[in-house]
Amino acid sequence: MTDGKKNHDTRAIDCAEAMRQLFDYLDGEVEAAAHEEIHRHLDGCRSCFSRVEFEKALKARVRKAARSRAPDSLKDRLDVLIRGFAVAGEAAARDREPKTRAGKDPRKSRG
Amino acid sequence: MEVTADSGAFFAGQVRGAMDSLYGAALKLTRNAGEAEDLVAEAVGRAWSAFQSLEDRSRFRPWLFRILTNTYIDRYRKRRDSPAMESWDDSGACDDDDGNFSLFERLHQPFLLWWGNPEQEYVNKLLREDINRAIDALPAVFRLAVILIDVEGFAYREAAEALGVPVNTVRSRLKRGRACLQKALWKHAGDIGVTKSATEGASLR
Ligand SMILES: [Zn+2]
Repeated sequence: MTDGKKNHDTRAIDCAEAMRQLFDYLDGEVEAAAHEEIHRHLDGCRSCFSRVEFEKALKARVRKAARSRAPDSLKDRLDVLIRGFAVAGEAAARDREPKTRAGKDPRKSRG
Repeated sequence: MEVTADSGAFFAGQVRGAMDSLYGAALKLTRNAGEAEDLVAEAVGRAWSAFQSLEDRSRFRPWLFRILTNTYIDRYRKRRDSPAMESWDDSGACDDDDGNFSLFERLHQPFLLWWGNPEQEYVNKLLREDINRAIDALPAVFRLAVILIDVEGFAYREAAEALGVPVNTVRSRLKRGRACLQKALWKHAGDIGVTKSATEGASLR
């Protein structure tokens, strides 16, 4: 996969090394130094550059195609659930307060 | 941590913010809209019950997805004998040449290059249904890795927490999931006319 160009930088990585880290690189999972090395390799290597561009485009396409939006029925259902939790949580908080101070105590609103 | 009005608001805000992602993952796991809604609702209920045990609130998202995943597994175990039964491990049948299949290498062939940029053209022509059909056909553990990272944008560490496995397991599941997905898309390539000559000329195994 080399394109015949020789890179004289001592820290330069070759195609095999760049491609070994291809997905970590695309997923933003490589350290800054390694990222820089790969970047530099891609600047000088048309073959690896094309591969990276392809994987990047495919990943974006998959993301766009497979994303979903929660239907309104689920949103409503979760709203009801969460409101129920809130009521239960407030009741539990009230139960923990001293009887004489039932109602508002700012200390109780911290988790 | 005590459950207070403040933590209740935190929980509600986090769940609302994650709703589309939760539903998306549930839909891809169950492959059924009604079941996906039930799964999310059950997982959110379980999450609320366990919320007091969550020590680090900054890990809420992976923690919530961990509960979603476990809820799915529990539900699936209950109906083990149903035809919908699917294995939940890394041994799932996945036609991916052991993780080495590369769609790019198949598309990037000298006899196709006269055409300009066949790889890019191919990506542009992929239909939403093609991609979703290919994802739905992946074994569950590979499917979920692809969903969390490629679709929901989780970092590897977050996905590892959500799945309860080491980061390297996430990496290998992702590798196989992507290779398998790419192979399914390649098999389909001839149908959309992008690589007619390629799919006819190359062995599909
Ligand atoms: Zn290269």
